[in-house]
Amino acid sequence: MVGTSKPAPLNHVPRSMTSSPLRVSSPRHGCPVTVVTAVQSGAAPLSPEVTQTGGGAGMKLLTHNLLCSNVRGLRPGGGFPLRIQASDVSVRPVPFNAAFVARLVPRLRWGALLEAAESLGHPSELPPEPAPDYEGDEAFLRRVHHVLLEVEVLEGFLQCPDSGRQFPISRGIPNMLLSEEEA
Amino acid sequence: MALPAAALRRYLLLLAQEHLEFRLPEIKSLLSLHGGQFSGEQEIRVNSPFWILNIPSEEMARGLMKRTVCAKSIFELWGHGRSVGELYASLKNYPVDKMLPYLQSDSTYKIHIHTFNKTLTQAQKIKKIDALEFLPFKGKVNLKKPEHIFWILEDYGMDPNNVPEEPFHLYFGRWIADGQRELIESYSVKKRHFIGNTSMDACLSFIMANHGRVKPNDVVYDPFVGTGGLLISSAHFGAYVCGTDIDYNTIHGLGKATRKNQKWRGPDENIRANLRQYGLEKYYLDALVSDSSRPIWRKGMLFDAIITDPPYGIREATRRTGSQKETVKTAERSTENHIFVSSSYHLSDIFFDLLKFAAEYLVMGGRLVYWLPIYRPEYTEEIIPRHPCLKLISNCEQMLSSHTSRRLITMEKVKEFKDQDQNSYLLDGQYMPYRGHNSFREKYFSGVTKRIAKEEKDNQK
Repeated sequence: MVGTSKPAPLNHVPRSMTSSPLRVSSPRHGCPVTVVTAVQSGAAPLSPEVTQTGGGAGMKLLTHNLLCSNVRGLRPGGGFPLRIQASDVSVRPVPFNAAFVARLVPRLRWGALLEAAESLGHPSELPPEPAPDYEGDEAFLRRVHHVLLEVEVLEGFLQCPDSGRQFPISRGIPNMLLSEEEA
Repeated sequence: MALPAAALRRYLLLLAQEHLEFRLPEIKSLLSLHGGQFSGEQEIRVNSPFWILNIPSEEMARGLMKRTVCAKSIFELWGHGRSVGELYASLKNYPVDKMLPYLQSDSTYKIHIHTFNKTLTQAQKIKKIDALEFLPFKGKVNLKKPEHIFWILEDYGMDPNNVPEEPFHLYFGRWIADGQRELIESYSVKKRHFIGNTSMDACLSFIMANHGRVKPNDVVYDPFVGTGGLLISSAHFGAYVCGTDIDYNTIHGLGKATRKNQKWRGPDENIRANLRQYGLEKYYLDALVSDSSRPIWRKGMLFDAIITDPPYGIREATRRTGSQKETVKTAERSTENHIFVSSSYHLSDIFFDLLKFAAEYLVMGGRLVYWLPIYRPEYTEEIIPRHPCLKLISNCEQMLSSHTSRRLITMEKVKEFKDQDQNSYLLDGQYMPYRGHNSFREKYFSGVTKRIAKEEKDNQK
């Protein structure tokens, strides 16, 4: 409420609705840096060409399982699943949460998940379909967890199965933007 | 779940006096999250810091306090009244067997007195506390680390220029728990590693997650994710988060910094690093570059909540990929061909697309929470965007200037999305009268602003 005066005894919590200029004097160091281009230790200041990935994070197969091509004019369902062509894949541990994984299983396209894991050289050891009592099967859930959340694509392409259009993944981030002509 | 009134216990909620309109929807959402229900008979004076709630169990009250940033504390209410006499009478009526467990001789306690809109001297406070001697306190007073804390709360009204001699309302209760207001400081944008021009303030981002009924193990999505500030609050509450943005540099953490005195963004400035700063990295799923008007997700009910702050076209551009050309800023150097920015994306289109997206991709019962910029002279409730699959839950205003504000809109998916009626509802005029706000940007900047300011000044003479 702009303009309302607040009674004295309460602590006035400053409202910052907009971000005002903030003063930062020291550079931020928080996490390991993977320096990809040539600037090494020494005097050279950081510039935008130095790419930093803060530990090498990539696109997870969970995300891949939900993505589809948005190229125009595809037949229904023609944009899924995207074919992964990965040039850099890593495995990164994530704390296991059985309840979360169990919640995800019904939302997944199971075949596409197995196929994707296979194509990355990380065959999932998962059955062709989840068993009816999967929620209580910890070993099963751990395998799902590994493949969904711990295998990451750092560099590569996602290819639309129908149109062949390739969406690049760089520094672990897929770029799904279409060009002016395609949109 | 309708319990007889006797089965419900009465609790006193002490709220912070900010974001007043946002508080009731927050408390309602959180009570429902914990299996409770906010009944219409609750004695609520909406703008007061004191609310009396009927809640079935202490466990539910504690659950509420583990999430709320609007409420400071909650008390088991033992007595209240409009005068000291009424308060004492009320206390004498409170069942002694409910008091005794907390007044045992082998326990320790202290009594704290809290006044709203008045400051008491120490002597006055002690006098009021001593007057409660008639209560069967058997334990020892321990001011440092008591087992039980009791509060006297006095309400001296809402007018700081007209403070009464005696309080309008008095309450006495056993302190149960504090809310989460300390999160506001610990998650402050001032300390955050990665910020943008329009990063949301911490308190509001927690309010948004609460309005959105975010629960642990939810999948929360932000289609205008920017630097990921809104994801942080959901992750704090145990949800797994992902976001997309059309701006390549922001998603990659590149380009010019928002902070004064800092030229370029540093190595730990990206969304994942923001979550890592708070120990929430395990909740980070992914961030992608995409145009929210052209969804990249396969059809289905994929997300539990969508929590977002779309661009208003003022400090960030509204844009989408399309047919017109526009020069890409060359200041941010990147070797990749990443932006094909172009056609003006009307403000009303953003919300139209957003509601349609939410209707299709939310799970049943899932919520959409977003900010809607408003030009106040032309505002009516009818312009809030609607969709046949979504029910409007709340609409809370935050003023930005005398003639502009933004409203936090919360909607819940109540009907399944059927492909065939995708656009047919457009024929029904009630669904998109927001079009008048397409020129929000012009109105915000134009001479209209100056004229109104001048008129207001003249009126004050």
